[in-house]
Amino acid sequence: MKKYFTYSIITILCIILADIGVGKILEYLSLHQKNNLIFELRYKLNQAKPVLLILGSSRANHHYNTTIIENKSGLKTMNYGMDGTDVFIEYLFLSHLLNKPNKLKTVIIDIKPQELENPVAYSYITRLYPLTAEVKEIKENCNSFTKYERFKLFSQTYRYNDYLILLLNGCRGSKSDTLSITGFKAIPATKNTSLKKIGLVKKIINPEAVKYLQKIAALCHEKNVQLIMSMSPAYMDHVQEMATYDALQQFSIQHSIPFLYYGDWKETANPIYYSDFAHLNEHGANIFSSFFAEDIATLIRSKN
Amino acid sequence: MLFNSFDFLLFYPIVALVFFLLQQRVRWFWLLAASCYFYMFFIPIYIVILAATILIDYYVGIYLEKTVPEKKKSVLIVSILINVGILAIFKYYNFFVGNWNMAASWGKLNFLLPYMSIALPVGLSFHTFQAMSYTIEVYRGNQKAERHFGIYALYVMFYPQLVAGPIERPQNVLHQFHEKKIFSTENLNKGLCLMLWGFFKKTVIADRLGIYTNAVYDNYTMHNGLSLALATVFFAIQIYCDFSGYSDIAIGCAKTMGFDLMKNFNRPYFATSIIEFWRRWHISLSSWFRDYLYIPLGGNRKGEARWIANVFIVFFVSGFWHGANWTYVAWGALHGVYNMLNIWLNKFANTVTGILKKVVSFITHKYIAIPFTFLLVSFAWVFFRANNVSQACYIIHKIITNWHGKVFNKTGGFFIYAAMGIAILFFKELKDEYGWNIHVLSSKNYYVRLAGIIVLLMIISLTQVFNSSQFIYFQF
Repeated sequence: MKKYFTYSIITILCIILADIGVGKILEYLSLHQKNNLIFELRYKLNQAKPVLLILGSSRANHHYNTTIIENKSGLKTMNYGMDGTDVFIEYLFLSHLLNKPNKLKTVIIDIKPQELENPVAYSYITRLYPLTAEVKEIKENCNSFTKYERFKLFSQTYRYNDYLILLLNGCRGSKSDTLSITGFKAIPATKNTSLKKIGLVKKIINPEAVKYLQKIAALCHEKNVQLIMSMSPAYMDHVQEMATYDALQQFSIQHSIPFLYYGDWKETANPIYYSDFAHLNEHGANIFSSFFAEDIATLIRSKN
Repeated sequence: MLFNSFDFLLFYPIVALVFFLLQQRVRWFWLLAASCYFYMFFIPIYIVILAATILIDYYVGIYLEKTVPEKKKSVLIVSILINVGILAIFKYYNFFVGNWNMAASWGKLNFLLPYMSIALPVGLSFHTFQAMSYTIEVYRGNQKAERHFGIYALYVMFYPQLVAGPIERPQNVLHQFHEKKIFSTENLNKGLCLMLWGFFKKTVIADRLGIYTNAVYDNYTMHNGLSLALATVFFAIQIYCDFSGYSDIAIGCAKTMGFDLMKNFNRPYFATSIIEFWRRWHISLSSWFRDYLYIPLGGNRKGEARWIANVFIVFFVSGFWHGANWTYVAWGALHGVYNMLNIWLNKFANTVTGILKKVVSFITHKYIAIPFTFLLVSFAWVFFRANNVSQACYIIHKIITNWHGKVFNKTGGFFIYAAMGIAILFFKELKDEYGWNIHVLSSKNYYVRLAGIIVLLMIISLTQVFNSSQFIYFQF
């Protein structure tokens, strides 16, 4: 029995050491990425110092051409839109950026047509785990996903879950020029005349989602950063009938935060501007960004 | 409580540790309390239903032993009707109502039934069958009625196999709850390694493949035949890893405490025929149907026509047991057809000679028969996975006719992770099937075992799909 106990202790110690060892190797790989999502995210969260920041999901990522907006507004612009994120991750990004030295003056948050009605995408935080050591907000908020996430993060390998292939691939090739990272990713324009509009069905507001929007507003107010809410074009019906639209209108009035609505914008009513019902293609994004940049420039000037 | 959750990682060692610290006479109470807690993690109030059925079957068992032979059958029938009735209400009522209302509207009848909004108690199908096997075995005189209510309740509710089997027989399990279980390092090692392997199958392979299967099947009209075929094959592996993974965790968990549960899977995709497949797949259920439905119906002893009918009845009921949807019935019926064709082929093989015999030997050779059987089983899985029969037919039609374009490609290294998991699984299954003398987790050398455990844990940590997804068979 004593021998078994000894072997059990050795086993547990070896598992811990293996976890730490493999974790260190993966951490080294993570810090020496050349050109992928982790590389870009690390740059955006730790090094980039934008003056105008765009937050949102893949819709923000593909809709807001930062070059066009930067040229019109005269402000260094960065697009932090990421696939699958919502107000929770956007709050996390903003907390991190505003809690360290920064040059942020204006934050634009793109809200999806039913974002405040859908469940909050807490699971997305796991995509940010490779940056746990550098972004303390990840550990502070990870228990929103599951109540034991903090304990799981003691494992040095768990934080690289699902990243092994990406890390190995990211060490190859040439290093991306950080100066060229703007965050905007255009979807190539293809002839898509057969695209059909989808009809949205109204749901009730999710108070959890509204809570994070309120947190974003409070944070911007505290740090004296101008917040602007936006809903970019979507190839959908009944967007203005959704509870999210009503909630954003009310929120805008209550907190004196501008809300720019382009959900069913006439200028991009043609399906040729869309790659799918939720995303503008490059052509549509450039048209939208031009108009949006004008509106933003006016708002920023009026604030100043 | 799901096995692949942090809650279980806390629950299980506490239960196991306290079990061995307690005296033998109170261990049943501790396990029963733990099992109640485990069950109530889902929908607490449903323990009332479980308690009611346990109470009824406990007294039925005692009564069956005491009463006169003339009354035994009626008592057994009443007990079975109560068990099946509860199962029918929770699992099949809305299905029945849906079909009735559809038929009524076709026939322009003004008598529509209301739906009930009730959740299906987790594991209802499993513990109902386990309870029925007890009363039937007592009736047959193969099992003495359990006088200790707590032990009987534990037989039905034993948490490792409470919600998704294996569906145990009283002869195998009941006596074990009376025996004193001494802590054994061998049992602990075997049990933990089996649990680790089960976690690997479930979280690394099943959940990973589920991402692809769901993406394709949930948008089936947007994918070509190649993608649908691949998703079907992935589903075949997914459901095997999901269910056998759960069984391994259940058996391993029980093993660590000294309890031996029955083997539920025996490398089913190495079967050389459909008949053999059903001796390797979900063994506890197929043997249940064999012993309590097929043989009482007469099996193959009452002429060929009756034999065919009996096979179809068993697979029809088996399909229906899996879920309240015509797709499961179609799946069961398809396996019924497969079994009949297999039976006739076997008969034919025994009668032919000469060249025909050589042809039959060729097609039943394992290198042909194993992939062909897998193909047949995968084809049937289309019905199992589809939401309705018309969707299944659409998918099959597309698989047969539409191979244009590329296969749906999930990004993020999906195929690499999937291939790695399947390769490890395939190697292990091959090794076990052909008895290769390669032992890692079961090696006598501590350092080999340690290396195997560490590698498996690292793979799980790095490639597991971490969303505590429910086991597929929980819905049954």
